[in-house]
Amino acid sequence: MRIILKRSNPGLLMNNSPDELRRLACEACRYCLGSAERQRYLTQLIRLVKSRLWRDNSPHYQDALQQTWIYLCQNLCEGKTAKPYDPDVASVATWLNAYLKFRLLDFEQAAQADRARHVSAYGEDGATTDVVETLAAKPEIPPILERVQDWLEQNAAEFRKIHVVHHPKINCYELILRRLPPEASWQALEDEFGVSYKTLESFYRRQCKPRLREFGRAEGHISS
Amino acid sequence: MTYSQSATDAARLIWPITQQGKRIAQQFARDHGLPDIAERVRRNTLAVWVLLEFLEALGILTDLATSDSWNPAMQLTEDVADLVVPGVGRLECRPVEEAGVCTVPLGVERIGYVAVALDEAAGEASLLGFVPEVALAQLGLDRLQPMDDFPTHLHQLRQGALGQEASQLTRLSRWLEGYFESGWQSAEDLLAQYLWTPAFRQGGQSAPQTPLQIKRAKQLDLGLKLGAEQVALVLEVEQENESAVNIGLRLYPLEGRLYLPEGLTVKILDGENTVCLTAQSRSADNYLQLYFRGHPGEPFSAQVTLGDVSIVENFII
Repeated sequence: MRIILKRSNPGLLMNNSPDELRRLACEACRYCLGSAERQRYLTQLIRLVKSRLWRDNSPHYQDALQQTWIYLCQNLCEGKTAKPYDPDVASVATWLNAYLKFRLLDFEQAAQADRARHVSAYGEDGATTDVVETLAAKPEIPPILERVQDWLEQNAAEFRKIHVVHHPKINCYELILRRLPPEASWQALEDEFGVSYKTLESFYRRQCKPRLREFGRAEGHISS
Repeated sequence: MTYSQSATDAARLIWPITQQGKRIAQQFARDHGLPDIAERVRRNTLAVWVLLEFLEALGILTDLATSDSWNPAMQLTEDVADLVVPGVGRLECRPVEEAGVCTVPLGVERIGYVAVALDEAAGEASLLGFVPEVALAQLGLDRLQPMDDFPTHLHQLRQGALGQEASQLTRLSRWLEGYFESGWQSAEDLLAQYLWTPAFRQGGQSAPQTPLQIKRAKQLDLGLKLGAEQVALVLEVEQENESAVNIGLRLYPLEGRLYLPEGLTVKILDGENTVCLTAQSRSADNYLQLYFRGHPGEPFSAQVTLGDVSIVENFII
């Protein structure tokens, strides 16, 4: 990358003329990959160049745009996945538009191939029926609330033993249960148990939440 | 920063909402039977995903596996929209409601709050800006700093985290809540070569409750100071009851060595720097260990010494 014309406070410059965008691009490349300065100029460049990019109503437009931003960040200076940007050959917007249009074409071709497969597999009404959608519509696994309730019941004996000092009734099982939706407010629990909500909240944070978090982590989401 | 700028239309960063993001948000939402929660989860997921795709385009990695926003049980019980940036901390990515209101959780540890306006009809989101910290549950959109400054904010935090590592205060009460300071990894990972035996024996049938035991290990970066000697400091923490925490501290050799260096000393000092406990390795010790008990909020430090070199780790229970 070559040396730059002149330096100025980047934050104050908000125009998106081709010259300004080219200046930002060159400025970004003066700093090393992964540096805060590089990332700052990239952010600015993305923000300003966007209104100069091709826009259409393709259902894949946003995906193509996401790939375009990745392409910009990876290839503006070093050329990690393609030839690096050359400011002498094209403006930043022209360079990105070429890539964006190719990605839109890719998505469109992939979608066509997909439609062709669906129609041949599912007959004449397959044109608008999404197979994935149809399969996902009959999940056998109960929602997470029920899975948490089952887990809580299975561990009830153990969780009842974990309680606020001198208050066996205020235990892990009880508090997790009460805080499941529709949850009882801390104030309501304070009134009911006669223990300050701060104590209850702190007990919940230390004893209940980590167990719940661990369960959720291991459980994950039902995949469709 | 020498200039400031409000979140005007010019400063907002418009970012795509990808099909993958929509799919994940819908999948998460389907897991929640209650419509209000399903919608909350869907919008939070989109906000987190948009920020993730922005950060990943810039080359900043994120960790969804440890983000509560990706945990179905946490989504169910709390309004979570966090995103972990490894080595930096936990961000909050809040979707802005239609009236321009952005509500953030208080009393949680966050390294920044990003306001995300979702425009689902247009298939895109606006990253309106961020604030490093909040005092009120309502995020004032006029106080937001532009996203241009966001990478610098993250880098400063990372620098801070690196600089602090030596003198960092490790909070064991946070461990019991499932949060760990950087540098403390799972003991099994660091000491894969050892068969792990718990420091605390379960008191057989008389155990009044199953205590939550946390064990974490830190490689004491002694490379420069102690020549080739690398040791692992392992802490096992167990909440006995509301006012007492049991702590087990062990030192193990690392890098495939069988024995600790001879004469390695570990001391436990209280808040007044008074030595409470001490242990020293002999010629062929596999590990050193000390056990003690403290109250939540009580400070202590562990001093590891070999010859005239010493490393101190500071803790608060």
